[in-house]
This record gives sequence, structure tokens and C-alpha cells, in this order.
Amino acid sequence: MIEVPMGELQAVDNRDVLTASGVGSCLVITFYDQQRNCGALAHALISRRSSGGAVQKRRARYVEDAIEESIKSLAAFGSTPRDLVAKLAGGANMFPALGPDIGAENVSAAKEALNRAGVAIVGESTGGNIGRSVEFQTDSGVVTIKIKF
Amino acid sequence: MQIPEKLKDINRDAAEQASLALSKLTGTAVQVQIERAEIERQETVCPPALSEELVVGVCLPVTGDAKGTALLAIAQETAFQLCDVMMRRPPHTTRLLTPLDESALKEAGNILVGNYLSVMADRLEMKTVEGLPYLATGMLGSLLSQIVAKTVITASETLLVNVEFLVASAHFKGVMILVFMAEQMEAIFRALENV
Repeated sequence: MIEVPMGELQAVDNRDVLTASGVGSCLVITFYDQQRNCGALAHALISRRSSGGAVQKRRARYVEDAIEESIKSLAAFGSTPRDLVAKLAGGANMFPALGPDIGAENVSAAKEALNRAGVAIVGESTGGNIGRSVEFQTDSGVVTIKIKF
Repeated sequence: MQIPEKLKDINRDAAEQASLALSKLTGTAVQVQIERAEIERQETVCPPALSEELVVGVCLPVTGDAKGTALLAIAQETAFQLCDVMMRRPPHTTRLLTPLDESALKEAGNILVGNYLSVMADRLEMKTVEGLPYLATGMLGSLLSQIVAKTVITASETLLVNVEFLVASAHFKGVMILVFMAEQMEAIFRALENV
């Protein structure tokens, strides 16, 4: 198993299991290519870089970058966006009274970016005020979500 | 990053003040100890082994000279035990948090975080203002990620002061995390070195 921390992504073609633990407002995007049995998991923090905002030091910190970089990484295995299917997990709002719904913004940004890239979304467990842990079997595309409450 | 030695003084004074305030709140002698303070990178503050731990989190927005968010997180079971003490129930009675329990936990969080910020602000000649506390239950990682994400919007790197509290009478442990914007955190460190 490979744990993918916040702001990072991992692409593999060796049937590894990719995981992300305790996901709240962050968004996990999994990509699976059934033909090539490869996949990627990106663990993004926020939707997009604000103007004049931070310089990116992690390639999957922003949802849009995470999707772009995941597609690029899987291209190294021969995958094109049309070969990929995506699943989304996370995007919760743990403290609804605390301000903007970062989770919902993440989900919305991911759907837009995936649509632009031509990657179909085939599964989603997003929103609410619950944390999730994600386990992605890259040999089958199966994504398992663990919820604690 | 090295922790300034002066932070220990702040920890000691904050613990003393929090002990007094919590003793008043609970009507019983409470001894708060701040076991350690660490500076960690925002994205590595929560190791995977702990990120799934079910916790009760009290979150307070911080404004003033240092803008950010404070989170006090305690294991759910610990929160139940703390409620038993605060509500003067027999041990191991609480299994579900009532609105009154939640209110008491928010107040305890407010006291712990508020005292720490107050002592730090006094020492550093800064002004900090805590907002209303919010409470949520969930995986530690899920609560932390939202706090961190709020600062990522404007800061490339944010540092965290990670503090453990031990209430000696019943050995309650928790963790307090202060997340500030990067430039303000740097200003805090500069100020600490000049105290």
C-alpha cells in the first residue's frame, strides 16, 4: 500500500494499492485505465490558485494541477484521457460555520477540469461533514471508502 | 525548524492560566501541562497513523496581528471522559455528546486555546482575537485538512505549533494546533527570538 499525503499524487502500473487517510475538505481523485491496468490517485487541498497566491511546491496541491499532472503521469504508461475513468472522494465540510465551503469548491473544480480533459467520472462519494479514508485498487479500479463516526 | 527556547516560558505560563480557568469551570482541581511544542510543515502535521483517529475538534478562528485558525483535538473517548468530569457525572457515563456537553467542550477549548494565544500575544506584544468556537467530530486528518486548506489559499507554507495537554488528575490528552499565515508565523518567530 502506498499512502498519498495531502498535495501529492501517485501513478502506478504495478497493481499497487493507493490510499489516502482522513480526507476532509480535500479531494481525492482516482484515475483508472482498465486496458493497461494502471492508475493514479491525487490528494488535492484546494480548488485553484488565487491570483497572487502561493507558488506551488507540491504538484497536486490544487485540484486543477492535480488532474493535469495525473493525466500526464499516466500518459507515461500509454494512457490517454479517453482511456481513463475517474472517481471522486472527499470534499466534505467539517466546520460548516467556518467560512467558504472549500470541499464543495474542490468537487466543482474537479468536475469542470475532468470534463474539459475528457475524462469520464464514474463514481463519487463527496460532501457532507464526514471524514473519509480512501483505498484504491489499481488492478481493478475498485475504490473503497471508509467512514468513521 | 528549531523551536525558540522562549516558547517554553509561554507554554509554562499558558498552562498555569489554563489550569486556573479550567479548575473554575469544572469545580475541581485541574492541572494542565503543555508537554511539547513543535513546529511542523502544514502538510505533514498529521501522520497517516493518526489521521483516522476519531476525535472531537474545537476550532477557533484567530484574527488580529496573527491571522489563522486554532484547533484543539481530543480523542472522542477522552472527550466523553472530560464531559463526565465537567458535568459531574460518574466516570464512563457519557456515550453521546448532548448540546450541553458540546457547549462545555467548546468552553474548555476556548479556555485552553484562548489562554495560550493570550500569553503568546502578551509576550510578543501582539494582539490576537479569538472568534467563536466551533465543534466537530470526525477523523483527525479530516478536521486538520480543512484548517490547513484555509491557509493554503494565501500562504505557500504554514507552520504549526503542536502542543499536548495533560490534565493530571485524570490524564486527559489532547493536541492543539495553531495554523497561521506563513509571513505572520515568521514574524512570530522573529518576535520570539527578541523576547
